[in-house]
Amino acid sequence: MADLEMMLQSAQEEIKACSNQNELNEKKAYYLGKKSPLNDIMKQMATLSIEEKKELGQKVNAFKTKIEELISLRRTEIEQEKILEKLRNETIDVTMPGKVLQTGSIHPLNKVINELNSIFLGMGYNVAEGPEVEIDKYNFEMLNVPVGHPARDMQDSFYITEDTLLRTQTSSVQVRTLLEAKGKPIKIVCPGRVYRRDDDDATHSHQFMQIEGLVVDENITLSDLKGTLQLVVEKMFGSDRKIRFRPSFFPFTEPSVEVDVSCFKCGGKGCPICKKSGWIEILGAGMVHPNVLEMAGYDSTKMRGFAFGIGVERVTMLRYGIDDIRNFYTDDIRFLNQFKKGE
Amino acid sequence: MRVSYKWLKELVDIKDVSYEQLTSDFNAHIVEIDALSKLTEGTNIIVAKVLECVDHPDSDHLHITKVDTGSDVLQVVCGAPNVKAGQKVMLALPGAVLPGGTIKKGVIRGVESNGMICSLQEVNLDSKYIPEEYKNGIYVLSEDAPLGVNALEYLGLDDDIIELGLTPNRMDLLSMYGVANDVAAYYGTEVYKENSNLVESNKKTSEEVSVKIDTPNCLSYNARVIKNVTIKESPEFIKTRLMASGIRCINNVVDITNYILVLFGQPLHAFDQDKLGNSIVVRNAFENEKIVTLDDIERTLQPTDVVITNGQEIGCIGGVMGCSNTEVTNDTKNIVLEAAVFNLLSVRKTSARLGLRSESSVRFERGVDLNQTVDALNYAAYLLQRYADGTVLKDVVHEGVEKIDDKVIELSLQDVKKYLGIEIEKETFERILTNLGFGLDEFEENNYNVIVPNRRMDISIKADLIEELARMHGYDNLKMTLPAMQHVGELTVAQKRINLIRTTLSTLGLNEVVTYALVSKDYNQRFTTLHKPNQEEIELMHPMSEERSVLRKGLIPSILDVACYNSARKLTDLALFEIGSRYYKEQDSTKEEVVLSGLFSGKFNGNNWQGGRETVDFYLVKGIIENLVDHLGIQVKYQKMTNVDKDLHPGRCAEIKFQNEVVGYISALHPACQHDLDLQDTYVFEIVLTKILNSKSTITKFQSLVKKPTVVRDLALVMEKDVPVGDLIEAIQRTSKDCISKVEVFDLYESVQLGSKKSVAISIYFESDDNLTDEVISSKVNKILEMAESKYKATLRA
Repeated sequence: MADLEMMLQSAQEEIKACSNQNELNEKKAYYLGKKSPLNDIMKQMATLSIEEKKELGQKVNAFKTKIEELISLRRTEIEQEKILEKLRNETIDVTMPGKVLQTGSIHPLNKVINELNSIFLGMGYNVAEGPEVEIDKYNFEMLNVPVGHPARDMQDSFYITEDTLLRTQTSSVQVRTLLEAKGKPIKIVCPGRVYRRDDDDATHSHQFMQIEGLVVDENITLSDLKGTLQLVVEKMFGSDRKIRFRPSFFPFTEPSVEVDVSCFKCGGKGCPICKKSGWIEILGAGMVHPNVLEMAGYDSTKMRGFAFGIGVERVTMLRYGIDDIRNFYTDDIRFLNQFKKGE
Repeated sequence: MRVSYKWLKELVDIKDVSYEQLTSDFNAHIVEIDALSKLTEGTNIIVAKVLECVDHPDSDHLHITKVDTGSDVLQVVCGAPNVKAGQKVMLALPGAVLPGGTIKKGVIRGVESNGMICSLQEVNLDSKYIPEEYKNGIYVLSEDAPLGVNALEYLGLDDDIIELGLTPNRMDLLSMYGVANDVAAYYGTEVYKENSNLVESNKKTSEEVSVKIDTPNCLSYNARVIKNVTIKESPEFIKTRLMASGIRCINNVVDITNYILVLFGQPLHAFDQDKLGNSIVVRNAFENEKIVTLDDIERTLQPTDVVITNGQEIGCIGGVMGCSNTEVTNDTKNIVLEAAVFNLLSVRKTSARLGLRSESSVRFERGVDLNQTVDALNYAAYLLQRYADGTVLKDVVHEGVEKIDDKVIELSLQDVKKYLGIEIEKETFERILTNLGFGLDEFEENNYNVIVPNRRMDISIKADLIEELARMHGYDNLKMTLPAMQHVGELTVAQKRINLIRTTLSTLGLNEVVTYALVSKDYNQRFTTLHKPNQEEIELMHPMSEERSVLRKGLIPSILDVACYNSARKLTDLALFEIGSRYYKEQDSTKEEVVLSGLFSGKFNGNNWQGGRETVDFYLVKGIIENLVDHLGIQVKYQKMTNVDKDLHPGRCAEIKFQNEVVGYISALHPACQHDLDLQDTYVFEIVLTKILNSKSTITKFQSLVKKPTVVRDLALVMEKDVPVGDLIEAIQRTSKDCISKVEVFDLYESVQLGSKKSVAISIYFESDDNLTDEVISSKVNKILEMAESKYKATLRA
């Protein structure tokens, strides 16, 4: 009997020492297989009494069960160690850079146009388009700028023939829209490229973008224009921005106003950005000139409208703090990559 | 228009208004201020007298002076070459702040100095106003200048300049009276007219000069004769006011004509009567008539120009510039003074053609108020009588229009409300219009005839009057409302697609660029793949430069510029796209087509440390286009291009077909072109979007999912290298359209053993709810193999 005890003890140690499943299998085969040392003990069976046989039988069975248990326990332990080791081996530096799929960017000017478009779409405007090579009639004449008008001084143009030119303003789309609508109400914005004979420098570009707005209906007022632009400015520059109107002149609007937004840097106290005035000029607007309406076949005594023209570059420069308009057309990718963020 | 604040204060009662308030009100109610500046700057500068002046013992140019300030005698070291004992000078006392710094007591080369004797430059007076003799030294005041008083104030140089950013309509603000009128209207005060006390001689002007107008471009011509004038310096008040207005002083006669120009907005011209003669004929110039203008330049005239002649010789280009032959000089004794009004378009044309834009022409171009021309002339005559000692002959000789009638415009309170969306009280309405100098006739309750004087030529319709009311009442008083309209806004399909292209490509790793549409002519000679023979270039009539002389017919050259710009800055990994127009003329009508172009160069995607960055190649570009095409929900075909542009790689160039029409291409740059531009491996693409944007848009149709598992068969096919695999794939798909869901290439293998052949490994996905047994699949595969063999001579790889 002492043999069994001793055997169990050594088996216990041996099983514990096993470091993999094969060794365990060997131990199992050794202790429980055909050549097990138990066989020697079992051989004594014949010489024992029934009582003793029964007792030995129970002990042998208990031994076997114990061995099985020990092996199974060790098996689980080994497996767990293996997993733990696998985990240790698989540990990585999670601070290394990720496998980034390249992303690009939308040009800041188009981002701002998209933003403005979506603001206006939300207010029920459609987005209209028109050609960049425009006839003089639509770019000037029908906007109340006849030949010889001093206002043509303000926007020296690129002529292609005597009566076609690169549009100097998206207002030409106003005329086209009015003609197409044939007296019906209108609510559009029109973004697009325009051209003027300016030498390119930090604040001028011979090609730039505008968004024109035009609303025509029976009861449109200058207060509607102010309310509309206040809303746009809040959405573009923040809800605490205010606007103000100042007297101005455009041949195609009367009254005409220059629109300022309260400075986003100083909030109106005065700083270098707003040249100490607290206000920044952002766009021109006004009530559509009756001549413009009449020339396009509208009865100006019944229908009125407002129009505005937003300089996209200017708004973009103010919004992002860009100091040189040439950045937009140089397309340095270090510049472009700054505008990946969704807004 | 530069407005002298000091002068303005003399013309209108604004003593209760601070300078800050005034300038703020200008912006809000009158016209935008472009800039505020000071005529001179400097504090603590007094009039002093130099009592003695000796050379500094330790310097070759310094002087030691004793200066009387009226209350004290100070020792001052002065470096000016023209300082002399007995002069009255401007002395900056210790503590004075000048543009150059603060003046302190000090010791200059061992000699104590208690201030600085100033030049006009040192108080920041623009050098164009500084008389020649004072350009290199201190300024010397007249002998009667009182000691100890503020020198800049005494000289009238302590002025603030309000520079107005005039809009083209407000011609009335090109004069001090005009500005004063608007300011007075806003504050509800009076304009003071300058006093005139003209005494005429008995002799009539008409005895000495006759006027005849022979052109419709001269509306009115008025002349006066002033005899025996003394040409000398103008009085200080005229000089300082002209300086403040931005005009250089010449002599009293010229200065007085300029003074009138600034005060009334009426340009005058003074002829030397002894050179001009006695008769004035105003006519159109003859074709190519030649004259020499005051600036000694010979000018060639055209019949659209108006000239003032003495019947034979030209003395002046009307409204633009006088001629040397009748110029007022220091020897001039007798003067013919002209106050005329010319057709504004004619003056505009002449001055533009001759490149002569003067203070006069600017005013004539915008319109001069004919109703005050004679007043202006009379006041000028008075000033010449007083400050040039002249004798003014009796009456004005006049030809042409005498007076322009006031305009009458109907306006009701209701009109104002309809336009502005706010109510303006009757009392306010009447006050504003009356203050502006408009007459009011209320012919019916709240309905008025508004009488507008000619000086407000910018006002001709109701809306103009409403603007006057709005600005004077204040735009801050407007409400903020939104238009009451039932309008629904929506993007068009084409607009949505443009947005989709932009989002897709930027998400796939491309940077959007925007480049100029105006390019040089040689740009249009390159990358011409999509140009058609009948598409002519659109050229500017007067380009600013050769570089920007034509509209582009394609975008690739401009995008290559962007690539070169970046690459020169070591930014060589580029993925760029632009959506823009290409322009051309076709049968005399101009066309603008929306084009998508792009460029890939260098490396793309992934990070470096895992070796994930790949060099861009044709298939990357094509893959991205395929992605885009998927997103747009359209089908295109790619095929090898046959007629390849010289700057493209003939072996790596595919045209893109949409609805059986070539709309674009993808290509590697030709190695030579790439080398010329110093770029790494570079690929470009260009797609005309017009047709794609306007194609019918369909809504995705759901297809029920196949329940049985997909069966995949891999085949390795060997074929000649020039077999287009794209065609083979399509052909495979066509063999069992109903159950082949996908055909994928997973390997391409070429080797010496294969020789002229290539091995292409393909996975074919079979998907169907029918029972796809091994036999069914095998028969389909056999069909594929037969087709491959017969059509493409492709065989199973052994």
